[in-house]
Amino acid sequence: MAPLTLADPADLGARALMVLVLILFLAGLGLALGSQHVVKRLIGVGLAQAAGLVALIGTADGLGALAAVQAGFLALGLATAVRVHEAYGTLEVDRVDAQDEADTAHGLAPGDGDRGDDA
Amino acid sequence: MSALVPPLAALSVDTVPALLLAAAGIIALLPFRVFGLWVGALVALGAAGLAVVSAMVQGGYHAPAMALMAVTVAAALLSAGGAILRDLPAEKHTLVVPLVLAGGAGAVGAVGSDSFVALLTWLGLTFAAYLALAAQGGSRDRGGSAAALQAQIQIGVSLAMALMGAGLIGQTTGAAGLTDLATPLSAAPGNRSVLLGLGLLAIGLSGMAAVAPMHLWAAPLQARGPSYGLVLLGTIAPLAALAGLVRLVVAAGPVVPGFALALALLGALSAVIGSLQAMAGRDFRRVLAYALTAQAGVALLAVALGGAAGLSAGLFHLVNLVLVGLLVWLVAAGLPSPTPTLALDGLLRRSPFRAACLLVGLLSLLGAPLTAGFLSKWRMIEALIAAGHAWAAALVILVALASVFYCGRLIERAVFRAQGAAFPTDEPPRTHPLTLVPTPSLALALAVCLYLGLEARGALAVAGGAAQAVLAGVGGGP
Repeated sequence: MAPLTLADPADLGARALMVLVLILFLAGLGLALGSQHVVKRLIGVGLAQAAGLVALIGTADGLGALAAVQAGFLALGLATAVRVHEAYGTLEVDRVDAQDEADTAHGLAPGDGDRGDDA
Repeated sequence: MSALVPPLAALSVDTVPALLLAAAGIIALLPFRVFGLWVGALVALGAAGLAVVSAMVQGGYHAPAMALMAVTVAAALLSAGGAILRDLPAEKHTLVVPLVLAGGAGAVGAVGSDSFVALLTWLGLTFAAYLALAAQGGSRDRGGSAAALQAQIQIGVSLAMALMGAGLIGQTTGAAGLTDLATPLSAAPGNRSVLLGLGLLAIGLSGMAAVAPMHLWAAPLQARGPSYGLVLLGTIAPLAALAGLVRLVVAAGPVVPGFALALALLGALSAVIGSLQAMAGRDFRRVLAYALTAQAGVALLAVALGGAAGLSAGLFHLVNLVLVGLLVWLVAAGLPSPTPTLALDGLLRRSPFRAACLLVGLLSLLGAPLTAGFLSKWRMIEALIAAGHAWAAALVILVALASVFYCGRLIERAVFRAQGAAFPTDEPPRTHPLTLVPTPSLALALAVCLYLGLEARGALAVAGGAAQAVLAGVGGGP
């Protein structure tokens, strides 16, 4: 397979493929940054990373190791999501944040602005 | 010298990441817990020694940088020994050492990588390993798991941006790495795909380096994660990403109009935001995380605008940040979690040695005279003024003044206040001899930090040589 190239304006197929990759990347980015559900965010991260990996095809060697790291990253995220669900009973970001704030208010895990004043 | 150590010269510093990674795999199969920790520590020390000797033989930029990172990994692993036993149940000990080694391999590999794919693979490995460690904090505090998950998402997004940026650059120019970037970039001036790719790559690396405004993952994770994770995620992983960002600035800055200035503005923004957040912070660990974000911004500013002298000063500043990071995070790791600033009250009377380490680390962070931090800031200011960017030099001074405020507040609590009854500052019982392991690492970091403050000619010469090697490697200068 010949490498993709944007440098050749006549290679419309490669350009169209690159546009599709960019759309996939933006869709993943939107999901990762815009969703309230943790698993949807992780899926968005996975999509965006997969798009980045496809964009690198033909430009360099060693993509297999990179793909393995990406898969590990996603698996780690999902495993942590399971633990968060066990601890909070939800995977909605705003509900997790609300419970964290409640924890902070009860002095379980203080963050900024509490219990550390100079008084 | 190479004739004296032919086996080491043949092995070369490039084998260090592979050595650490192989050790991680083997130790993961060992059924022993504490034994695995000792084996891991010995392998890390051996790898660090190999890296140092190979760096003396090889010279250049990569070898000293990889050696420094390998020594830091070994120190962090040794230091983490006590905290591991204190923080986690025994059944998780076998998991920790392989992850520390794998993350260290990624950091060492990242600072030695030229190709985009290798750089991002090693960085991805580092963050995956250390975030897996951070997620273990949830066994004590459920907020630790939530913070680790948020960090995974944000760093995952940063990695995706960097990948897409590298892909766009590669598809447009054919450049596969930092060393072959300058020529194709200068041949395609103003190409929108290249500019988009550079921007995405820079933003992605900034996010992993905890440069503001992409640093939001760092402070919550540091505040809620397990103690040993602080040393790793606060020092090693972001600095490996920052080293990649510095090399990108040096490679692309001279040939892409406006790129160096854009990165300088990003650094300035990070310095300002990090300083303001550190000044407002009331949690010790958060203050440290924000302070390092500010310092990373200062380094980026100097490298982007200061020319060769700025690059040399910026690299010296990175070395100083490694030492300061080890000192302050190791002290933080020894305090109970969570850690409001009043947990520092009476530290001098409770633990004079750790108070001294914290004092030296914070003084170097704020740039007090007779510390390495003073020299690095002085050199950066000189370089920025010489390059005609007085505003940037003024910003470095302002950031130093801001750090006097928040570091001074921490020093005042640790040194001058008595232990209060409002916060339980008693540490968990030390039941195992390995909990004393952080002391030698702290002592080493303290000694090097003090030495560089008094006699830094050698370190400055290495930083200058490294700057020349970087400039020669990428074929240009900022």
